[in-house]
Amino acid sequence: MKPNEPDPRLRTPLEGSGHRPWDPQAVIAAPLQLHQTPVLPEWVDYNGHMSESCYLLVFGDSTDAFFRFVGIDETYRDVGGHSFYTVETHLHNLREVALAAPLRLSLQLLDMDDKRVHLFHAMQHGETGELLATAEQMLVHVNMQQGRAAPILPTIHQHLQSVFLAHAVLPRPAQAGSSIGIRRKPAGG
Amino acid sequence: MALPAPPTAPLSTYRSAVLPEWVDYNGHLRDAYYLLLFSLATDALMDQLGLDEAGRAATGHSLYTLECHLNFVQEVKLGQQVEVRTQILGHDSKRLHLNHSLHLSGEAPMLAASEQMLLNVSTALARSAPFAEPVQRRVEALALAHQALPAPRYAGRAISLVRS
Repeated sequence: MKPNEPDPRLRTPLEGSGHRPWDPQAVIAAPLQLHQTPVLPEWVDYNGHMSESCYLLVFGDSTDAFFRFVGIDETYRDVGGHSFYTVETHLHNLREVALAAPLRLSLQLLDMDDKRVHLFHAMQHGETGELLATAEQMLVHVNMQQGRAAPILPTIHQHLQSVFLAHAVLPRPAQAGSSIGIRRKPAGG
Repeated sequence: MALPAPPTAPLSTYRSAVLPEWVDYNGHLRDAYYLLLFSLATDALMDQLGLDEAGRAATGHSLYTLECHLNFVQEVKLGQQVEVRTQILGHDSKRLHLNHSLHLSGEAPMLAASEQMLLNVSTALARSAPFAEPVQRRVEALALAHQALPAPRYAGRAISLVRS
């Protein structure tokens, strides 16, 4: 890239903002609400609706906010050489949403082990509360140099465990754990 | 007029280079842009089914993605030439169940997969509607051509820590 050329790469809203200080005394919200945004002009299609891939962009920003909440930021990545990679995502699109609509994201930690976190996001309309879309994700902690799964470092693991315990009271979301298929009604039923 | 029978292999629906605005600080394709590639492949499939801009205007129909499952298998890097291949897994009178896979252009290994359920909707009424007759015929022809293909590696999955 030439020095005067703008970097075309998109920035995420929290990029470079570091992680939040962890307060072991603080009550952990269930679910967590760490991200909100209006629907931006560059996210809408010719119909004036937010395009499919931009829902995932917003869910990704919510995941980023969650990682910063538990202590993972650029320093963790660049100094420690670890990061979380998404291995699997399942989206349910429930409602279309128009330019400038306020989006409110909530996040539930469904499950975890020593290397993986299983997250569930709900995207709601910020004023009406209407559920617009959900995303379920599996992320794996990787040693970036070796390019393979590696145990989550103890401090972060402890923070995640605290979130997991706080979220154990939440009901399992209706969309979680589903697979895709055409279910035909039984004959005569 | 009889339509020519579609080939009995996944369709090559979309090709592109990985663009600078799609990658992260590390030059790797970001999650949402895998989905963008798969969405563009769905658009190309709609063109082939008769739901291009003119077809959408004529029928008043469009396809809406109800549900989408993504599996990220390998990193994809800035500048790589990639290709989406599309296989029909099932359909009824208004739903289309398909699988997209992402590859380096012309190569076999899979970089990512996306299983999707699409719903035919009347855009004016904002509700589901049976496929228009010419679209239904094309969907059936394609489904027939693909029915003997092996099930895609990642289709039918639910996300869980227990099995993967």
